[in-house]
Amino acid sequence: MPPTGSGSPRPLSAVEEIRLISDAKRGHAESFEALVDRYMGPAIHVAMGYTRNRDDAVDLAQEAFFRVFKSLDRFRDGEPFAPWFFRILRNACLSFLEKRRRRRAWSLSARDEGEGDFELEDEGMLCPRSRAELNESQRHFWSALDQLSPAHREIILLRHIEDLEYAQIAEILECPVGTVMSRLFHARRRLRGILEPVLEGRR
Amino acid sequence: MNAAESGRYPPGGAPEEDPPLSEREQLMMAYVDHELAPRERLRFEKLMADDPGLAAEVADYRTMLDLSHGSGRLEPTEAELRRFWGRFYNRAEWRLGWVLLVGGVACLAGFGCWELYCADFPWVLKIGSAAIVAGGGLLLASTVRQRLRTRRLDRYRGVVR
Repeated sequence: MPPTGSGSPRPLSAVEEIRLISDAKRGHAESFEALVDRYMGPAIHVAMGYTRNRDDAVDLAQEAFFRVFKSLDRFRDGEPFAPWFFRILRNACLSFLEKRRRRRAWSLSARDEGEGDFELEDEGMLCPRSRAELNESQRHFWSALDQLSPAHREIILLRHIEDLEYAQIAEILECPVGTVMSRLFHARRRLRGILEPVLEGRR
Repeated sequence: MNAAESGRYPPGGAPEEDPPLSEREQLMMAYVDHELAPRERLRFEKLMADDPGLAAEVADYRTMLDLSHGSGRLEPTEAELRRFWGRFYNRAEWRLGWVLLVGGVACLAGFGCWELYCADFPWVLKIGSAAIVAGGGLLLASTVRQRLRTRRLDRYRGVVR
């Protein structure tokens, strides 16, 4: 989805990233803020895949960065940051969804007893402000993503949007590389079926 | 380990039992994602040359990758960044502060109620005082609960003024 105001940050090289993490561990706030700058967009993107609501996604990105901030000293030097960060973000998202599911179940039972409640807004993967900036094919892609199961949507986001390697995705999802490949294959097959009219026009 | 044995899953997104892949399907995925060694890549390209259906499927997956890459990223807005940093470094203090405040109020209220119960006051005074404390607590809890439930629906939450 397109930038919505602050512009895309410059990608960091692996060496720059290691230096930033090392400085952040020593308490340099500016280095930590540069890391946030680099990963904030991807974090919102991935969190949107779980929550389908932008405000919640921003809150969860903050929660994940806060957990990173608290546990930076446990991060091993030289390790890639992305899998570690996305695993923390994923855990935050899953805990949030679990709480939301319980809250909705509770509010439904309360409604049965005559007490009203508000439904949380479900924007889908394409929030209105991004929708206007995409071309027709890209809009189709994001709408198709909405129709996938959460497990399939999650793996497509990690591979297609965040460009993570199989081994990194396996680390985030805590499953073998074979499972990553299998899930990705079936997610893509399903996506291909939904996107058939778009793909037809591009053949 | 199969899908059901691994990790946590999003609610409602319980692992579909995705069937395992054939060797050809595994090669296809790795080829699309540039994860094949050169020798295996050549082997798969030979397979594609013999099978136009396979080549078409690979081409579709590459198109899907192009579509997703061309869609850019969800970058935060200025207002979201301000909201993010505005309460980042003092988050822990806020959490701890609320826990201490609520705990302290609960202790004092409990002690006050006990003292009132034991004191040699007329029952009307005791019941009246207890009703005021209970009513105030109930109204405060209800207001906080309502605010927490509706804050995500605030239309002006991300608006820069």
